[in-house]
Amino acid sequence: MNSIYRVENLKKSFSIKNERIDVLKGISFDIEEGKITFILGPSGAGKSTLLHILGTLDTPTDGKIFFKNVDLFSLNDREKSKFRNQKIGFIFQSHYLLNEFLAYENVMLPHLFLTSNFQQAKSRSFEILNSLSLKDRAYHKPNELSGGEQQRIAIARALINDPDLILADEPTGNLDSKNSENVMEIFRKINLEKNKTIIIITHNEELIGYGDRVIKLIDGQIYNL
Amino acid sequence: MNHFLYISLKHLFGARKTFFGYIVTAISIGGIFIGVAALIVVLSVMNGFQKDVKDRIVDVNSHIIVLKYFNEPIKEYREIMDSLKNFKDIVSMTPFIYSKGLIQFENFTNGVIIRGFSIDDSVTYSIMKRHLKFGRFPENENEILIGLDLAEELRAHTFDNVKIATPFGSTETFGSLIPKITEFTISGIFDAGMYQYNSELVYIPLSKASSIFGLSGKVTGIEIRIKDIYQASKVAKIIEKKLGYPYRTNNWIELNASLFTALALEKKIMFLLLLLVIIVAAFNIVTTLIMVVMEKTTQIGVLKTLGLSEKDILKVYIYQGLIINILGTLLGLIVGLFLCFLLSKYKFIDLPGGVYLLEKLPVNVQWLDIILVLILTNIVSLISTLYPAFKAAKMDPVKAIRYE
Ligand SMILES: Nc1ncnc2c1ncn2[C@@H]1O[C@H](COP(=O)(O)OP(=O)(O)OP(=O)(O)O)[C@@H](O)[C@H]1O
Ligand SMILES: [Mg+2]
Repeated sequence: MNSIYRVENLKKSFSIKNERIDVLKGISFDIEEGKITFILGPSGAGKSTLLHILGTLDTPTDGKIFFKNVDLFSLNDREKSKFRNQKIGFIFQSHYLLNEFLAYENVMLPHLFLTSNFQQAKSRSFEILNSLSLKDRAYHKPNELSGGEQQRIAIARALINDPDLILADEPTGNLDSKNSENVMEIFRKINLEKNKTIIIITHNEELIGYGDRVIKLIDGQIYNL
Repeated sequence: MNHFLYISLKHLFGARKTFFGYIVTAISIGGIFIGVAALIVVLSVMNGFQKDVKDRIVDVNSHIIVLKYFNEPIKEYREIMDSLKNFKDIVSMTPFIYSKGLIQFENFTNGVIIRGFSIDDSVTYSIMKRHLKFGRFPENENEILIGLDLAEELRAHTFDNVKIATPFGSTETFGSLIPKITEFTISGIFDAGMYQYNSELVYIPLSKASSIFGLSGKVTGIEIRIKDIYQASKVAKIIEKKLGYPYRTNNWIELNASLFTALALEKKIMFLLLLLVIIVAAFNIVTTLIMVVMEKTTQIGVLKTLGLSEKDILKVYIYQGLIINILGTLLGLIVGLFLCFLLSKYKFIDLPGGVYLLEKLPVNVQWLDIILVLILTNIVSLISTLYPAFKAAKMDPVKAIRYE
């Protein structure tokens, strides 16, 4: 087995006014490369917190995470940024497209950060938009798009640097069932065709048929299903 | 274009949440713009003022004068001039007499400075000719030139006869001086462009001056004009060395040191005052950027998830400060220089000659001043971008993503 992530005794707690909340209570697991993994759990269980830590947006209180044998939290800010830019594509419940930028400009941003090459970033952006049948939305502003389109543009943006891993936090949370299916089909396709590892947080148990594995996170502990 | 600049431009000029956002940006650009323009105009006018005063002083007073210690009259002035003949820095030399006296016309009397000058000296002639407002150049021993303001005070016109009283008359038995009265005809009235000169200076022929002051052919000193007036101190030293004791020199810079020190101080103070305008403008940059940072909390967080580091975000906001600053300084530079051009071309403001030394607003743009203004403005506004930029860089991406 080839794990992309190895999580060891991960703890995360927040303190509010001298009161400590233990959100993740020492969890350990591996994520296998090239698989779709679902994380399920009740609200407040710590799913988003876990995902943010996996994506180096947040830091753990204790424990270690290895990404392909690299200790993620031994990296400095610049290295973490590079990691997020090249290895991960984030997708959230909200699309988080930037309003000042057109759809294709949003998509090309991560590539621009990588290469500073506008020409190349633009052409790659159109390639990906094309593959997701979004080409005719390229010159739209984000708020001129439907919810499903917005989320697919966000997926295009997550994919532009050809990352190893997609981290998705309730990616279908704001979508109707048809759009949800559509998004899941895209995930399945990139998983099959490009062997991308995908971690998806969801409340919707109907979707887990698309995955290879389900992790349940309840009260800061994990349960493998 | 690099991508930091790209994002900066989008953040500043791209879709803003409120119209107020655009106004704040405009105000901060406008603040820098006004500060820079004001600095350029005021400094240029002050330079112009200083230059104008200098020009007029130098015009009337010549550049270097050779005197004897204790202002002992000089008999051997021809020999001195001969010995300086081969100095290449010297343009012209002429002997002069300088003393004080009283002028009287009908019921009006005034203290005056009397200058005896050589009527045949061509340089003096051409300068006096330029300043002559009414009448003509003296043609004989009994003619006098007086200034415009003095003429007004005396209510005298050309070809009126005035009396000059000098303290070198015959000594009475009791040892007190009886003033000597000499009558002159006003041949011309000059305007040297400075109230001080126009109201106190009178010119009479050298030989006559010599006789009424009892100098019997001696003179007070020699006026020297040189090629580069800013070399006056240096050339004066060389001349002094060459002539040796008992001769000494004075030059226009030394003679007017206190005036120029005052002008320089005034300029410094204006500079500092106007720098305050720029500092206020810089606070506007802080406000603008904090507004942008607050408005773009989510965007900054998202940019971090997409791979911008803290340093990158810092750059994005420093770029934004620089954009505001560059637009502001550029506008200020253009408008400031344009105003300077207008002021020099069309004299908008007439200054009353009696109150100010000068009658019109002079303008002299000095590039060194402008470069200094630009450098200082940029330093001040760069400093003011640091805090907001640092704030943005340290923004926690999780906070941005969690709450929306
Ligand atoms: N910055 C914070 N300060 C204090 N408590 C926090 C902070 N961030 C998260 N929490 C708490 O941590 C717990 C886990 O939050 P998290 O967002 O990870 O839950 P979740 O499993 O994603 O829930 P949901 O399904 O509703 O999104 C919650 O109780 C939340 O209030
Ligand atoms: Mg969550």
